[in-house]
This record gives sequence, C-alpha cells and structure tokens, in this order.
Amino acid sequence: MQQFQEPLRQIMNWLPVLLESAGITIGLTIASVTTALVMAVFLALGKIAAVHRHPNARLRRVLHAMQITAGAVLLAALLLLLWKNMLPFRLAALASGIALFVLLMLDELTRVWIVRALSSAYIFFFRGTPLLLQLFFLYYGLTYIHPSLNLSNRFAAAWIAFSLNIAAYMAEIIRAAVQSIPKGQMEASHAVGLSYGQTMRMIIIPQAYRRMIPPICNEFVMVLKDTSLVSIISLADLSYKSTMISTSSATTLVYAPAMVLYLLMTAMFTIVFNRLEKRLSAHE
Amino acid sequence: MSIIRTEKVHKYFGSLHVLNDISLTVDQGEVVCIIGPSGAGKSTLLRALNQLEEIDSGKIYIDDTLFLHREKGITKEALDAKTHKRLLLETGMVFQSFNLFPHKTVLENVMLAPVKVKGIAPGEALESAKALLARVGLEEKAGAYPSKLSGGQQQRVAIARALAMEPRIMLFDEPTSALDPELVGDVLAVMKNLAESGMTMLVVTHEMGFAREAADRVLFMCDGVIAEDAPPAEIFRCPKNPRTQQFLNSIL
Repeated sequence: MQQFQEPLRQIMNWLPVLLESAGITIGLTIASVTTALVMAVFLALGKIAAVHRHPNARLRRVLHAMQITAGAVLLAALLLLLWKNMLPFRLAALASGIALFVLLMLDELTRVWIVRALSSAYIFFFRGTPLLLQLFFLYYGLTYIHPSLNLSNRFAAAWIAFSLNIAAYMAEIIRAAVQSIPKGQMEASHAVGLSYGQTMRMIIIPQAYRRMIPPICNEFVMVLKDTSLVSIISLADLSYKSTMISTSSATTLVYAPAMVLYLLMTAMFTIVFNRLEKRLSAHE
Repeated sequence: MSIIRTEKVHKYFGSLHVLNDISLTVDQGEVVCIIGPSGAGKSTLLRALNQLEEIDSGKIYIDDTLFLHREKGITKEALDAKTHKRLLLETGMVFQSFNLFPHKTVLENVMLAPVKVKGIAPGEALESAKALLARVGLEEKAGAYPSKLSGGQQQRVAIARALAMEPRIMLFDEPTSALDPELVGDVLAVMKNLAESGMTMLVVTHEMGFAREAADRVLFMCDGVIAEDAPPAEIFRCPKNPRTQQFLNSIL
C-alpha cells in the first residue's frame, strides 16, 4: 500500500487545476456544439429547401423580419464601433455582418440554387480542411488580412473555429435526418391540407429529431476530445494543463487522472443523450 | 351533377406518357374502381386529382369549379389560395402504405388536421375523432401509437384520418395491397360501409371481388388511357376491349 500513497497525494494536488481546465474543455465543447447546431439549421435549411422547392410565403415573412432585426443590430454595432473601438464591439460588428449577409442570401430562398450552392460550398470547405489549420488561421492568420481582426481572446477564437467547423458536419446530420423521413409523410400531410410549414414543424422535424440524437451525441463526444487541439493556441484546457503538469513534475502520471476526467465527461453526454433518445422513442 | 371532372389530362414521366388524354367524369355518390396492369397510370391519375402529381396539361374540375388548368407544364389559371385549399380538401386520400404519423397516437392522427387546418375546437374534434374511430371499429385503440397496430388497423385509422376532414370524395390508392390476406377483409368492410353511406369513391384496386360488389363503374386503364369504362357486371362478364379480356384472364 505504501507505494501508492505518494502518487495519490500528487494526483490530489493536481486535481483542482485539472478540474478547472476540464471546465474549459467542457465549456468549449458545449458552447461550440450548440452554436454549431444553430448555424447548421440554417445550412441544412438551405439544402432542404432546395430539394423541396417550396416557395413559402410565411417563411419569407419570418425571414424578412429577421433581416430587419439583423440590419438594426448591424447598425447599432457599427455605431458602437465608431464610438469605441474595442474588441467586443468589433466582434459584434463582425458577427452581425455575417448574420446579415447570411439572412440577405436566405431571402433568395425562392431562387434556391444560390442558397444551396452557398451551403454546399461552406460544407465543402469546412469539412474538407483540417480543424487544426482552421484554428491556426483564425487565431494567427486573420490579423494578416486586417490588423483589426485580431482575436486576442483564445477561448473566443477556439469557440468560433470549432463552431464553424462542427456546423458543417451538423448540417449534414440534420439534412440527412430530415430527408430520411419517408416521402409518404409529406404526401399524407398534403392530402389532409397541412401547409408546408405545418408539415415541417409538426410532422417531419419531430420525427427527424429522434434520428439526429445518436449522431449528435457522437459529435459531442468527438468534439470533446478534439478540443485538445486548442493547446496549439495555448488555451488552458485539460490536455494543455496535463502536459504542463507533466513537464513541470517530470512524470506522465498526470495523464491518468486527465483521461479519467475525459471519460467522465464523455459518460455524461452519453447518459444524457440516451435518456433523450429513450424519451423520444416512446412511439416505437 | 359531376363532383370530379377531368378534361384532356396529360402527364409524362420523362418520355413515358403515363396519362394520355384522360377525360373522366365522376358523379356525386358514385363508386368507381380503377383496375389495370401495373404501370398503367392508375395511381398517377388518382394522385393527380389532389396534386400529389402535377399534371403537364389538362383541366381538373372539383365540384364543378375549375381546380387546376395547366398547359405544357405551366399553370394557366391560378385560383386564390383559399379556394384552392377548399377544393383540395374536398378530396381525402388513403395510401397503399398507410402513411400514418408514427410519432402521434391514433387519436392525434385523426384530430390533427381538423384542429390545425380547419381550426375546429379540440374538444369538438376529439368527439368526432372518437366517433370516426368507432365507425372503423378501433375506438379502443385511440391511445395507441401506429407501430402497435396491425396493417389492417393502421389502414382503418388512415381512413378515419381522411374522413375527419369531411371530404366529399375519397381517393383510395391500392388500400389493401400492402396487407396480409387475412387483414384485407376488415379494410374492405369499412370501405363497403362507406360506399353504402353514399360517399363518392375512386378506388385503385386489385380486389376484383370488391370492384364487382361495391362499384357502380369499373375503369380499365392500360398504357395511360382509360381503355374501358362500364358497370362491373358488364366489364367482368363480357369485356369489350381485348386488352381488358387479356388482363382479366391473367388475374382471375
């Protein structure tokens, strides 16, 4: 028993630091995947709308309202930018600029090929290049384009890079799930007079949810582990801290508790998603 | 008074002329069975009537009102959305593969459209849904999900769902083709019952027994045309068209 006491004491010493950095890891994972989910809905919408070719007056009205909102936000952000040239405002301006651009393009839903091409190009790029390089480029490379694009906040840089990347995968998950619902569901809805929007909202999407759960859970687990990439921009996540401790204490022992923490976090996602899946499968 | 009338309806799938100059009139209360070999255009004709298939040219009247007029793939006269929906809802449809909403209970399947499309109060819709389920003999299954029902039961729920919108014409697209033989009878009984209650029905079917007993008219379709249109007694006893003879010989 004697020989285990010293390592245990060491691990207990490291634990506060490890737990803190695990907080960054899980925070980054959840923030990125949820942001990506929202983006992915738009991306998937682009491709799905292109397939169904349904000019929907109601949807267009909603998009219009969203555009006006985005325009107002952009204006406000620009005013702030003139007033105080600080990073958060610059970020806000950038974000609303992108949002406005996307929304303007969405208005072209009636000419769906544009949306479809944009969605496809986005997915092609972010799925086809390494996440590591995307992260690098976003953190170090943007300043070369323009000095004001300096993302000095590491967490924000990682968050944006991961969200952009995961959204591409997520969009495909959503699209596949929606399109896997049998055509007969659409036809039966049409036959009883449900509109396209009602059919999507009440018939297609609720069934698609259930099919998205396993791949989205998978995505959470993958991202959780991929976040260890942020070491390269020196964001103090669990992997980064473990390596630091390992170097300073001249032992690899710290990787054991680090891996256990990763396992615990993965298990958490798995349990939550299994529950969700079971609840949504009540009808099967 | 005709409740459905088509004039010179054409439809192509690529180079296949699947509906070739179909002009058809169905009167109120008539039960019309459509028979014929597969690929004859039977289902396409039925699906064209509620726009599940867009016709390339021709006119469709529902309730003596022009519902659809297209020439060479372009809509000629567009109805306002409200009238269009009203006419669309004059037809109810039953599919070969049932197409019940699997994430909704039997009762919800039947109630959904009346509440969401017609805006009927949920309490009222519930009562009529229950009455309809009783009519198809499934009131005790109201709370079950479709996956827990047999094919025949699912199809009866699908009939109830269509009836819930109070259509004046029921379109049946091979309603018993996906069923095990021992389950066919229950569905046919519900359909016969419906026919006797005076419902106008268009039925694409391979059940010759049903066509003989319940139909007022039997249409024989072949290669996109209506090759023969006669009362069942006539068409089954002495078919005039040689292709009808050939078809009936091959299946009876």
